[in-house]
Amino acid sequence: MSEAVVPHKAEEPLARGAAQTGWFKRAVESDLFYSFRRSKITMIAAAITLLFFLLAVFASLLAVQNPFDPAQLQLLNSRISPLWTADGQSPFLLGTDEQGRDVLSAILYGLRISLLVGILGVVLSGALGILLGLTAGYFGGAVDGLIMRVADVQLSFPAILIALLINGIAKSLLGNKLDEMSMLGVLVLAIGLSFWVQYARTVRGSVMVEKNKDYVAAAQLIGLPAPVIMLRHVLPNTMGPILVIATINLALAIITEATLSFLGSGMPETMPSLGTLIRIGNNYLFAGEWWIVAFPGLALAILILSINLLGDWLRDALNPKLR
Amino acid sequence: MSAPFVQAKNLRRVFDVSKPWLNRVLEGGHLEYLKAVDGVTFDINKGETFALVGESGSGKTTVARMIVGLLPPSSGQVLIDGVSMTDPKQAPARRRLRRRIQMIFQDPYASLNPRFRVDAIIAEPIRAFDLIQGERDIQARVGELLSLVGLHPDDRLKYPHEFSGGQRQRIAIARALASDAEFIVCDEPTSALDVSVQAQILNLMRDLQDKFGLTYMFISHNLAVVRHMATRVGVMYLGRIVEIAEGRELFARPRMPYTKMLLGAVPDLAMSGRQRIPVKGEIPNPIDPPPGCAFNPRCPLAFDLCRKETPQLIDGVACHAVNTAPVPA
Repeated sequence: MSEAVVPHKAEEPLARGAAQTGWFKRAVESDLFYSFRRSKITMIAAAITLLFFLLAVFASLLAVQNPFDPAQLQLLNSRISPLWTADGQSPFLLGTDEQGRDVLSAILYGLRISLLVGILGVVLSGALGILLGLTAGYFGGAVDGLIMRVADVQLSFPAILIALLINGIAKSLLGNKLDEMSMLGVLVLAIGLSFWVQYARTVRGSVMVEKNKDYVAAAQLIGLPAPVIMLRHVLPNTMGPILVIATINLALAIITEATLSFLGSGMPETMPSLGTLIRIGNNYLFAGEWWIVAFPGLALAILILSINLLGDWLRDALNPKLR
Repeated sequence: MSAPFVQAKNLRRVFDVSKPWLNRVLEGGHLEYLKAVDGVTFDINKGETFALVGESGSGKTTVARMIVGLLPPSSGQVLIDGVSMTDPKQAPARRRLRRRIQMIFQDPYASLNPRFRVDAIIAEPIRAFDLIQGERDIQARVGELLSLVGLHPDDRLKYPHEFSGGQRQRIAIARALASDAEFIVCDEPTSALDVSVQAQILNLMRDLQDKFGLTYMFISHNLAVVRHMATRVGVMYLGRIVEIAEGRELFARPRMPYTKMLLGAVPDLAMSGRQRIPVKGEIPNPIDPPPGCAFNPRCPLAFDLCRKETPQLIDGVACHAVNTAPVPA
């Protein structure tokens, strides 16, 4: 029997070589970047998304006026059609609305509001969902039962309904004290509280797989406390699906914000987001002033489409079963 | 001689495998328990290698997890260097003890965090126990540990997926040594590796044992590996130790019929044509074990008493046939 056990023979070949590789080189050589390079649509979507982000960040440099500042608006300039039409006037490339607000400037500033609400909403819902999902998955038992039942109940309401509910409560509580900035906060809260369930469920599922792996046992063995193990060991190994959900939810959050604003319970007209702009323009659509609604709508549609395409690609690229 | 380094006393572990409460109420059914480990007692002396062998489902891994404190026993206790692993009053002593106990796992693909670089994996116990201060000294120690297990110090900058199974197991060993552990529980450390690499890992572990005076508890289902490693062997069947003996003694003169059957199943290259006891049957369902000695449905020597009474471990064997009547060899 002991013949099967060979005493000290050839050592395994030692792993050596290119040990030091920078993170940039690793990123370029990664599978993810490879699949990114192979998909033209994804590259276009990424470029457009990036462009929208840059437009939003540098809105104040690009816009001909600050549409949030009533002093800069002149009623004389109201309802000017886009530049290339017969009645077009310089500097208003995409025309103006009935208050003399430049549509392009309003879109740039509105984009900023929409993206801000979307990103903050995703961050809030992500943080909440990840925290609750980690706790539920790691501890299991009654904690898990409680959190997931709350999630189930919440999931039986449409997200927009919950957002409307939170909005309504905030409005009735704050009443007239609700200025533009606190409205923005309420929107972020509404979106954050209505989208956390998906994160929680996904994280819980991944955690339940990961926590039974031996590297978690090895960490428990050296006496690391549970929060450290959860955050340092378990969480990083569940990041893939979270990233996919966050991307897709960014688009969803922007749409939700636009829907709330369109319904009149979102951003006010004095500080319009894309959704508010669409609502304003909607009133003039049949009067022939199509540009007031068409361009914000187009901007929103392209933004959502690009983000969704990115999310789809990410989901496929991170799912080894689809390769 | 002083008290043994590791003492397991009457360890028992029961798992609740009942259906959820709601299903029990709606569909009918009752609470079901699985006795994974039932009354396991053994000692491990300093510097020796104690092996637990047994088929899948015999409770070896559960014992290992209870010994290191990953799983609380349902009853019984574990003493390591006189410190209880279960008594809440001894928690401070246990924290100090923890540094000296490490575990090497079966699957080297799951026991190293894929997001950690090798240096972070190996240095984690050093940092957790605050053994070395200063990043430079820690990195130097990691490099030293890597060369100790036959890897290159520069390998510390790589990720686990860049290594083969055998190399990963070396990393796991380096991590176990990082906290200057004295007692290492090895849960089938080579069963996920191919045969040529198994031998290298086992020899590495023996070398390290000689060098640092390590104490091993070695879990395996591979008798060839156990024979190579163990000074003392316990044979487990359905959650109980059925025979416990010096390694050489057990392989030369097995007493319990189950041990004989296990040894009979080991292939040998010499084609000795020796008589074998063929393996028949399978390990019973531990939720519903047979009455009396759990081995009686498969045992060639079983008689009435075996079907009624569970045999106690007497003189290293738990078998009515061996303990009550002289067995014709």
